[in-house]
Amino acid sequence: MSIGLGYALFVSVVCAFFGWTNYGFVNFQTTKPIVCGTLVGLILGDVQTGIFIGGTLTLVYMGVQGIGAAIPVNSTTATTVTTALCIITKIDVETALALAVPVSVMGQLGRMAAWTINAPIMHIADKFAEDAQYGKMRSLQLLGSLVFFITEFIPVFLCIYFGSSFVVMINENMPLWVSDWLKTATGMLPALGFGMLFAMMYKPKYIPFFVVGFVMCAVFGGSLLAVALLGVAMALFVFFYVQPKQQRGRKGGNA
Amino acid sequence: MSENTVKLTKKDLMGVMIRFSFFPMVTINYERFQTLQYFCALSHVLEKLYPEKEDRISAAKRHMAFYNTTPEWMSITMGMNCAQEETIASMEKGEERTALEESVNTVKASLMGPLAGIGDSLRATVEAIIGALSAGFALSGSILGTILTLVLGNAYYFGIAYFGFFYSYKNGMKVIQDMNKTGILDRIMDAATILGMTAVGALIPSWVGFKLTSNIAIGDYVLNIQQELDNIIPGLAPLALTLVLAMLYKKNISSLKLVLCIFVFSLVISLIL
Repeated sequence: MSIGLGYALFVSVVCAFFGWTNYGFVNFQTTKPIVCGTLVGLILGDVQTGIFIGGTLTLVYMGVQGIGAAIPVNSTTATTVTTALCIITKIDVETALALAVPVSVMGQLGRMAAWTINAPIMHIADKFAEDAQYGKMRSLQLLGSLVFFITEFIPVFLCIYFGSSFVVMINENMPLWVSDWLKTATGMLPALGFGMLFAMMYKPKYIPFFVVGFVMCAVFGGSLLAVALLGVAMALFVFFYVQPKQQRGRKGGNA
Repeated sequence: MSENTVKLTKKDLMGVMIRFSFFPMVTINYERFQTLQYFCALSHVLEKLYPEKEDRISAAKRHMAFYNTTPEWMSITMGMNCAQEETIASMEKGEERTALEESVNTVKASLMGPLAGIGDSLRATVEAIIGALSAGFALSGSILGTILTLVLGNAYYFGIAYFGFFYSYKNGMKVIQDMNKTGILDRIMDAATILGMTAVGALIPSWVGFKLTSNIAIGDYVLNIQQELDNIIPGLAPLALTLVLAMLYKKNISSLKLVLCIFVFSLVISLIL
């Protein structure tokens, strides 16, 4: 069931490309499971499987999205790898879909690595800024993009080249405490995103609106759209009815 | 001075629009997030507006200050900044110009938070709707679902990027000029933050997965921690976790360290509970 190195490289590049578009390249919705699943299927010669897996994983990963500083599980890599393995190794769809969860976590860890590796770029950019070397600052983008490609490619290649048996092996031999750990961690990570948004917007006077939003959803089970409309209403009320305090600083500066 | 005549053309502005909407996150990182991308999108315009090296240095430093928001909503501050930079370049050096230079970062810093709060939650809602529609078609074997996602998703993203950018470019200077007189920027920020805060509060209970599932047996009495917490207020654990992280982030602990903290904390939680 093993495939040649050349073909594995080709398939891995195709699969990694879609995950790469999320950060490293232009994203024309090519990260959405349904789109990348269909396109991988098209390239590997089985569109129907691609559409089916893409559609299924769209529902599985509904609402998975980056919030603030939190990187979500990598639903794109999960879809492309699952689709590719399903088509080239002829495993059945149910088996393939079970691979999505471990693959998505591997892809997520890859992205976290990229966010870490890219941090020193900021210091290089600061040095160039001292000298107004705009061209060099722009070329740093290539570096960042390359990092994102490599970190997408490595997990994808491991899964494709060593095949579904590799993913199954990892999944089954993973001690229970590790999988529990990863599940808890991925559940908690969005809290960092919301925490960061909260900190960016925080002023004591905004707390009441935060509380209203939380209570409406958590306690009264309001739908997100309904609570958002309530938020719009409150925002418009304050904008039109509450007069700003007179006498503010000339520069109007705050952070 | 010839600087007085430099105006941004439609082509310059389209260039900015395409750069920020195509490559908003190429160098995103745990330290300063989208900062460099924001600068890169503006850099061609800055080069055109500031022929002098000294001005270019101060412009580059100005735009290397922390920035992060939802990519498509970057358009709002980007448009205002274009209008501001255009005006700055046409001014003589002096106090007034320095004040306007400072207002560039005021706009960025005060709007990015509320824009991200609104933008992230709006995108979550819109994409869930598009996804549900598309998946229905896909599961019945039709390629229509794929096309639907491509068309609607791109229309949403690039629609906000395009119209948001040009709208805020046209009206940006008016807002800045009125800023000191009527406090309009503060009022816009107030309204946007109220909406953003409501949305963030609403998203926490459903999006943060933090459940304490185990039972602790104390003699004959079995204590189900999650149920006890739900009896106080549902979603208390996610709320507490979010607020603690917000507090730590406010204390300038880097987000990378907080990610590590989450991994350590979740290990402890998953081992003992």
